[in-house]
Amino acid sequence: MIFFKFMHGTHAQMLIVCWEVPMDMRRAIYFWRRFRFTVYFFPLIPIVQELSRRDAELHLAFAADQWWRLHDQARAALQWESGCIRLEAYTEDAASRALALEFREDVTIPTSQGTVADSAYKAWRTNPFTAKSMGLPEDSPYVTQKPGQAYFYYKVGADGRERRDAESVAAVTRAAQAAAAARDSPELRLSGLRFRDPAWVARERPAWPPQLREALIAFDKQVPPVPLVMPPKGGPLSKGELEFELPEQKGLYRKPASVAEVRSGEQKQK
Amino acid sequence: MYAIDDALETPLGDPSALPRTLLGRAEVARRLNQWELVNRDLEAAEASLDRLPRVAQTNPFLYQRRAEARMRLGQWSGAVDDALEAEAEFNLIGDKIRRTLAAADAALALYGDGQFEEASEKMVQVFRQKGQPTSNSPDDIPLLQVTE
Repeated sequence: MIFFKFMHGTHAQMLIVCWEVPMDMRRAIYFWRRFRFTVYFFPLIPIVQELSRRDAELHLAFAADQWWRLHDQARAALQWESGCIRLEAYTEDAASRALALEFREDVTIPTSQGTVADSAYKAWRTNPFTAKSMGLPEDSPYVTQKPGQAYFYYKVGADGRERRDAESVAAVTRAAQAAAAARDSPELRLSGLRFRDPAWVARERPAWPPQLREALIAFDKQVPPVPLVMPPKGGPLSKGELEFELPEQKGLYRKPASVAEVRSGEQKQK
Repeated sequence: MYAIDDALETPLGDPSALPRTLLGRAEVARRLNQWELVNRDLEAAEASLDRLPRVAQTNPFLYQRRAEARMRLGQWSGAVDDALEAEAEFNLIGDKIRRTLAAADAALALYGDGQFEEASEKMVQVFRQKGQPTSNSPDDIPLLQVTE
């Protein structure tokens, strides 16, 4: 009573401010946590990854081109090594990103702030017995999905095949898991060795011109593959990424061999 | 799919409806690997851009997609033009990452067109630029008033 008796209008305003500002901050933090990846960072990552892959593959193309036209084996080998390093880094990054996506619950679930009640709720919610006790089937999304991931699916026909939105977090995670699995199999792993296989290049890189494929074949014949040694993380860039400038004298370039000439040369070698 | 062609010839109220529809159909054809249809629809979309107001006439994605289709079809000189156009327009709107991707497309298309020296120069340009596009922030948009 005494408090209210001596209370002025400004004091009331100060009280309101003391209540409202933290509430606004909590809201801001909530929205930041929820949207920072999904709105800003997340759409940017795929095209940055694509840029990384395209650049690495262009180093390989550049190496083959330099061998085909300039017959500069040292330069070509340097560029090829850089391309292989970049491709390896790209693959590793995709795989580690898959793991990060798998464990990004703290980003997507606003309730998991570490309190006892939240963790208890999560344990109860993800327990299959909970679903059974409520009369739900075992494969109910209530059980199989992690809460807060906004993952919807529906089933078509009797085969029970899942169809999901290709851009959903779960679909992206599964694709990234597939990439991580491909990392461990030498047949599927994207590397410089794949680009030595003309059939693979024709199948997987249909936009590459036929002259470049011929250059890759010529490069593969002359420059044997070398086991890749990855530079330490955080170290300087590989040499081919720093020294790529074209020679000043354009007369150095020989006229590129036509496809027919390359093939006739191969027949002569045989 | 082809029955839409006649319907699209009818005059529409919204001038951007026609190119937008063609772009959408080209995207469907792209996912179906029907590259002739992609090329044809995007050529029609480009022709219909003239009806739009000047500010809406740029669409780098159109040229990027058409360069992709023309590279699949082996139309290398057209692909060179489209990739270079896409690169210039992405540069104009400040999208550094897609600009560099379009330059990579242009390098491959130039190679296919037989312009080997220009292609290797384009590759070097990509190697030089790839470290620069650290953001797609609107603050990086170049001076848009430089148009004429």
